[in-house]
Amino acid sequence: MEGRPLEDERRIDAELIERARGGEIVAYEELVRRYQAVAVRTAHLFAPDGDAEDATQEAFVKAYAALARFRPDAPFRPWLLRIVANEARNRRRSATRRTGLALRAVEDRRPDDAAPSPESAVLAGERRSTLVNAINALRDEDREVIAVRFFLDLSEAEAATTLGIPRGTVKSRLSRALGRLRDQIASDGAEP
Amino acid sequence: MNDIRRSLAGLSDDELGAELRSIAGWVAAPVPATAPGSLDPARRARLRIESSGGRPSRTRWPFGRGTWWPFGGATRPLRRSFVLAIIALIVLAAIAAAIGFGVPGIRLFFVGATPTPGISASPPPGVSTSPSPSVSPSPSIPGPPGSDFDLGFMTTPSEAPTLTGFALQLPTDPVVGPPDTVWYGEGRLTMVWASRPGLPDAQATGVGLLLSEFRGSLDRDFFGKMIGPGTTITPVTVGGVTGYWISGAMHDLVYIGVNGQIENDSRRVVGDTLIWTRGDLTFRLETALGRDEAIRIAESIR
Repeated sequence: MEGRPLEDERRIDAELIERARGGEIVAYEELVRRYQAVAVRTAHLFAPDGDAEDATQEAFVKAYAALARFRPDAPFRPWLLRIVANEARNRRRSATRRTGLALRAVEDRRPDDAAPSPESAVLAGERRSTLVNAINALRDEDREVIAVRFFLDLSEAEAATTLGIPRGTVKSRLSRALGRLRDQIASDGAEP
Repeated sequence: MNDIRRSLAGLSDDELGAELRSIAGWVAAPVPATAPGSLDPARRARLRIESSGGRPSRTRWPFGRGTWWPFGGATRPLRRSFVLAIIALIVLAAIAAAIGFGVPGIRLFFVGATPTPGISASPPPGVSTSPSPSVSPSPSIPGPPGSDFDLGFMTTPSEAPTLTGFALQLPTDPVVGPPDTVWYGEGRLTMVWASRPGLPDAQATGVGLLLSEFRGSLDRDFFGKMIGPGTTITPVTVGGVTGYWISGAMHDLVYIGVNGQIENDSRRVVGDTLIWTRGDLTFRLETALGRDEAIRIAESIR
């Protein structure tokens, strides 16, 4: 999907949506598979303690039910992600035990990462853990806005749709969340 | 505070954002297998849609959570629907002509069972595995009003008509004002007002008024209120049309949707309920303000 111009993506979505609305469930499968990776990631970021694939599947079924009401001129991805995020939130609320986000093991490094010196690797690793631990200590609302903007890299408009809040609120909420993240980092008590 | 903490805590918003972006790839997240033929979420969703006849698969409706259901929370939704369908048919057959309540599109009928009290009460033994919804988060960090009730996803008054296909109608009563949140899920639009002076919160949910609007076609749907002992129904007039004021114990609303599926909706979130239809829309208003005030708010809806 990457590398194709946005216009092409929108056109492909539009075609698949039209076919799916016409009852072609295979087209719907193809449509949601295009956004499956980001959907699973979204579900995981919103509810790290839940089964992200299961939440995604459920969200896809619900999105199908709502597809007739999707506005064709609107971008599909954030519309879908909102349903995914909502499903994940619902599951999060019923989870008894909270686990936060985790970092991949160092060995799991992306192939394009240059091998850093051992010292700087340790420092960078500590920096990452400090950030992730602090994020895990934040309340859900703060974690969500940080996750959609920085970990999913959604635009402000997409973040607004995904979170179900006005665009201006994304900005103010993000700024407050970053403030609290800094406070959390600064407080030594944040260490898990 | 160590050096790392000090340096991170000293970053500006932009710098901290860049730092967070740079670690995005390090945050562990599952990656679905997309090999041909694999049962990834897209394939599983398709199989589920196909198995439901390709029709939108309506899962249980929001407040459901087995609150009154006497057979335990483990009952599969499908079986539950069948049992509900049978109950509905038996009750309808038994009292078909007996009760003269005559709002088109709404039929009220009585059942003998005592419904289990709803949301604020402890769940029946069978549902203890699914902890009561969202009462859990600490009171210091409440979500937006209504977020505890599975009303769907949050939307806005301006976006609502594109989701529902009908024009949003809101109380014009200045005491009520605009809703604090608007939610959309499974064909229903629900407006939520946080509790405040003038909009009391009878169930300690933080919600003072709840208004749902949904299409209830007069010819194709019926709505049944399964009412247990302790519930009172009073026929009332809302802006010239007949409605019902349902007060007292927990009630359960059962209706057949446009696709013929049985749906149920059991709860009392805020207080007592006023239900009426106008045109092809059904309105459901929950408030702790009492009947007369509920009707006054209902009549201000435009």
